[in-house]
Amino acid sequence: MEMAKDIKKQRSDLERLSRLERLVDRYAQSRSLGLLLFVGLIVVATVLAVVLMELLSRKPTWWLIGMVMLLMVGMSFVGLWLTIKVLPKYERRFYKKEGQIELKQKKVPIWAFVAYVVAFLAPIALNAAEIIPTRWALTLALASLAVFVFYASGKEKNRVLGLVFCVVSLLEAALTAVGAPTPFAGNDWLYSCFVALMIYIALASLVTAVVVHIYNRVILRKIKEMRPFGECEANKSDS
Amino acid sequence: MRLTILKILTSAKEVDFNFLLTTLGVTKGNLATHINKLESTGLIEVKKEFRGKIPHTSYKITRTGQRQFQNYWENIKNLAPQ
Repeated sequence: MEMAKDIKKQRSDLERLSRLERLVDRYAQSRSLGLLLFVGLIVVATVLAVVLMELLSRKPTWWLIGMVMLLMVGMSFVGLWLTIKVLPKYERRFYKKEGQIELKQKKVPIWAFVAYVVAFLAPIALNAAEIIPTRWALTLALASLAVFVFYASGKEKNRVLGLVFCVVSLLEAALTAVGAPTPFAGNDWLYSCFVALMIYIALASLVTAVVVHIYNRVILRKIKEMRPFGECEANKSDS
Repeated sequence: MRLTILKILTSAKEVDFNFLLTTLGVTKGNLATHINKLESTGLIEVKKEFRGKIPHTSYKITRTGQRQFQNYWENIKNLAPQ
């Protein structure tokens, strides 16, 4: 009788611990507020790019073309450096009070990153050369971004975030493909393709940040509901 | 409680003190005592550093801890099959 009770208790403890592990994993993989910094970065970069291009189109001297090109290249590198190195450091601050967890991540292979860059940039370049229409360029760029983010999120243990971002981006891509009106449609390439794409990416990031943050709070509440865990008195054994 | 701490640490690379406080919902003193016991038995490793001027403590499970916890988990699973 006693043994049966013990086994039953052990089984329920086991189930609780397994459930807690799953919840902690989901909670750690759904920290999305860092995306707000990314949105800010996109907005600043887009505004800077538009100002520079407008400046270039009004007074196109060789000196100005050189300066703008240099600035654009510099901005791309600074943007990449900020996204890879600085953002992860600052996005931790959103969860300073709740604490940090570092999951066992795998690195995204270089070939995948290169494939993504090509798949993302090729339709934009083809559109700039007026080979494919803006609608298809936006669709292809958004779809490749969605697929890459989903793949990378699996490797970097950010699956919830990656899944939501992928779904929102694919939805935007599908809407564009079926002919939904895009922002700045009909204007020149800078607005109809580049700025429109940046707006779509910023919007997808914003929606993802909000949805995943709500999910994160739900998971945290579920974890809190599971308390107390085992024997809380520090000088007693767990068993 | 210590089993729960170990279970969280097995699924993560590194976890800090505040994270354990948030998930486990115990007092700081209580958690520190549990952690000291786990550290003294060599099951977990404590890393103390300064981030700016603020001290920061993080924990990770040692190889011994990982192995022992795995064995314990398997034994319990066999004892209490689904």
